[in-house]
Amino acid sequence: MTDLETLLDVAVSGEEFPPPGPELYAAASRRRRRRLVQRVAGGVAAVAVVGGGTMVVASSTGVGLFGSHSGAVAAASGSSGASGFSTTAVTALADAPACVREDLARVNWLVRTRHTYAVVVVDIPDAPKVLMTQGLTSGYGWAQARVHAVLADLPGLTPAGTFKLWEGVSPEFNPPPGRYLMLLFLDNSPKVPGGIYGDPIWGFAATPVFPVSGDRMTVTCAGGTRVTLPWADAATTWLGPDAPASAPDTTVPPGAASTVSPT
Amino acid sequence: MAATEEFEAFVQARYAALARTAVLLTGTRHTAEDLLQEALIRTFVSWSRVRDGGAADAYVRTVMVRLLLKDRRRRWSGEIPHADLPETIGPTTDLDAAESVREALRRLPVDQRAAIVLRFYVDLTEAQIADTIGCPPGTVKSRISRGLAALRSSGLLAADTFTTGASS
Repeated sequence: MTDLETLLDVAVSGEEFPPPGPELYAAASRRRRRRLVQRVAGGVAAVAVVGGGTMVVASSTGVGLFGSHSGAVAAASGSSGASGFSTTAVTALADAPACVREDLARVNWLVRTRHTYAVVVVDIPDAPKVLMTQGLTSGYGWAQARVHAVLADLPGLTPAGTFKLWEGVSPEFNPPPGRYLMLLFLDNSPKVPGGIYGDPIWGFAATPVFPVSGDRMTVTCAGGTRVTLPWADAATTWLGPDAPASAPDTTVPPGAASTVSPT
Repeated sequence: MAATEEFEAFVQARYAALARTAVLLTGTRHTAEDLLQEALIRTFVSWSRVRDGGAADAYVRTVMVRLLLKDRRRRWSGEIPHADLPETIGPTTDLDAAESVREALRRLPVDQRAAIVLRFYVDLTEAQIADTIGCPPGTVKSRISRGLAALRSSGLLAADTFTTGASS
């Protein structure tokens, strides 16, 4: 042991550090809940997921930022009509019901104001999720998610080609295999000393997750109104600085926003 | 065991050890506990992905160091702008010795202080420190070297006391 090691030991050896009280755990729980809300951020009304063209009714989680039930995802089931909702195909956003336009304006608001989301059409593979590790963090996700198209790029933070994608914040947010329009964010975490970062891993906002089939995506409003509309022209229709953008109704769980992060 | 219970058990078991590292990183107890508790809260947010007790320790330490380096103007950095280091710090009692060491550390630039503490208190290699701080190993080496030189100049260390030891 060097002299300096001894000195450093001496400098802190004489003090007791009793663990903190329940306030720390309460604060930690609030922070985690707020982070969950952030990850669920989109919260776009009633975005249910269509797997293989099948609508699946989402259950309410109560944590969405929007007024309607948030887009929890259930496993896709077989035949069409599971939801009982009818679908209207529109060719122009102007022809879509007001609720759809409002939902898309909220998505645009998130992308324009948060500056953390890339809007990407993603292929979720029909393969089991795998345990992935990045530094000190590990969890399940898809190792072979694939970028189909990028609609809003965040330079340096947008995946390209095949990429790793953490699963949703809880299992009900995991979309079944298929193609979806998603809001992706690069999930940075401290890495283990001596470890290797490896490939970057992205996360996705649990809502909005718009199912995509061919050149159309499906948006479902809270009341059950369901519309398919083209997605490739998003940047010139609903996703851009000149497109309508409206803040979501920030209804959050009790205590979730009672403090401000000292970032 | 539920995540919350696991986290609480981890905090109960490891708080004191992590707090000692935080004290050396910040130089004062109250700022150290601020820093540590913020790091613990952030750790809990990612708790499901922090794999085990050993990794949790490293995770908290990494968060502390990065917070410290990122937010140098925050109170927990404890950095005191100082053109010249004091001539000599002469400890006379254990208490004096502890305070003398902390004072000498406080007078180091925060990046040098972090490198010194991680190397000589936490006992990480230079490569591990580079990973923790997020900088090249060569930068770690130079920060340690400059930090040691400053500590020698302060009189805390004899001029020929030691080398930086294992490097990676």
